[in-house]
Amino acid sequence: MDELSNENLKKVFSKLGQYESSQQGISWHELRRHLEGNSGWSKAILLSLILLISFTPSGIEPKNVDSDVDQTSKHSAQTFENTTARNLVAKDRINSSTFQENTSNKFTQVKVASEVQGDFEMSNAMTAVQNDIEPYSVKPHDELQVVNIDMPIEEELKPIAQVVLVDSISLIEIESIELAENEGNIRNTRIGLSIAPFYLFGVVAPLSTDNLVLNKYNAKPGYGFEIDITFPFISRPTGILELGPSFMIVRKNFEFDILNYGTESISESEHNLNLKAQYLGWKIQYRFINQGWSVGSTLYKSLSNYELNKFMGTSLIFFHAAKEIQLNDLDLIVYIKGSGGIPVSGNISVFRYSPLQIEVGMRKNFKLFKRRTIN
Amino acid sequence: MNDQELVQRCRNDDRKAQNLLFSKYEKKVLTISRRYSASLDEAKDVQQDSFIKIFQSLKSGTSEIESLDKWINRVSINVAIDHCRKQRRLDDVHHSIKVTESTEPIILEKLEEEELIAIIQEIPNPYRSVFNLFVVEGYSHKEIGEALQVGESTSRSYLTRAKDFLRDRLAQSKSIHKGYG
Repeated sequence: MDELSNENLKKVFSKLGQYESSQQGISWHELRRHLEGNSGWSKAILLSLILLISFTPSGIEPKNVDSDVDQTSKHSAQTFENTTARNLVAKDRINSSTFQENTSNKFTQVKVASEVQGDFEMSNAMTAVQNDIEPYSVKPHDELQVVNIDMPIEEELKPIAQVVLVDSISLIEIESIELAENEGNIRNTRIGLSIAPFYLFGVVAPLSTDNLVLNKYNAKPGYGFEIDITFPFISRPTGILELGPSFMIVRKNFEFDILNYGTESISESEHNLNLKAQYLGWKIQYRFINQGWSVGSTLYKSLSNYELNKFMGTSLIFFHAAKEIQLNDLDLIVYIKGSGGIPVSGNISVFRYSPLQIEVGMRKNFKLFKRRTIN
Repeated sequence: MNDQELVQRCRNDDRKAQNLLFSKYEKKVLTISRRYSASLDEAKDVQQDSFIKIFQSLKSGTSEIESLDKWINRVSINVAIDHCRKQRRLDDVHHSIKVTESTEPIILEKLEEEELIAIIQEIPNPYRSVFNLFVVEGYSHKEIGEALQVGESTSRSYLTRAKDFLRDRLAQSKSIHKGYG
């Protein structure tokens, strides 16, 4: 008789029917934790981050440079006497030392315009970001129950056990909210922590007015640092949709000349600014399994009223594509990523700067624990 | 405490009763889970899913369970099948299987339970699921096809491939023994 015949296999393997493994499985403590529910933490973190991004205050206003800048610079800056001029150069937002060292003003007349000393309103743009965040809000629980009941489990299990059939549907209802359907694969995926420095260049779009013209712009490099945490959200055989917070620090140099067509004369001012800003954002990306590619987008919001906001905006949306290379360690990935950003809100003056980034980073994956609750 | 009482207390969300039920069946459920999984970690996931389903089902259901042992067995198998179906990973098995003519007739019968589980775990999915359902659980190909959402002929084909894999595996073992001899 063929040893691999059905009869012989059934005979050999039948002893497994009553066999009880001596291996150590999950503990009662671990199971109980899932039964009692510990799913709140991840949702709490995600919601907190959304709220943080939405309601981050405008921040501390930059120091007024009047006390630092020498009298010449002070008076020169004050010669911007019309409304448009107030949105330009912004003497009270430029780092005092930088302003003093790098700005040479050639105004021939000194005319103090008291309104120039007022602060600039940039916080209006902040409210626009709340509207941007809304698409990321978590679905209501009831809505997800409907989604999960739609899974084709009924037809599949009908001949096996009718009793279990009904129960299996009710169990699926308790799956964690954000994972939705087909979350089985997600258990085999990981939380990703990515760290990457980047090189920054970009595109400048001048914003000329009747009185101000960007006369000359010299492209200067910038650089920064980005750190992301991504959580698997939806898993498909072809890839994984991930969501997570992202933090970015940017330092950028701008060198430009502007012409000011004032009421009494034409003046030119040269600027060489070293600016920096910090951004907190929300990233969504799709990673193609076994292909080493990912594409996605990140919505960033400036964490304060940085001078850089006047050129990059207070919130930006980035689109990126990355090529990933898996190292020997399955959970360690090196990637090269290209990103392009577009300012979406903020009081931008003189020119709009749309950054382009090239970054080389490292991603470390960590095991994602299941999150379940039973109501 | 008899099974009926245990079930009733579990339905009332009695943690002590749930603990008791868990202690009584954890090994059994883990064994089933291991047969349908490629690794112990994966099996633990299935085991956990199984117990969560068991407790949830007990809590929400009211129908009488005649045999708790068989019922838990069925739930565990269904969870394992569900797990396999969600994964849908073929692992390029079509290319990895090499069919050989020779077999080692004695080895299988001499294998201990743990060795049998280990060799089942080596079978790639979905062939492993079909092998388990047909050989160990005693399902028909029609039942397997419905459970795994594949055709009856596909189920037969998967079983053949699982057996091809076993044949190849046993032949390898035989050649290794010869090499040492």
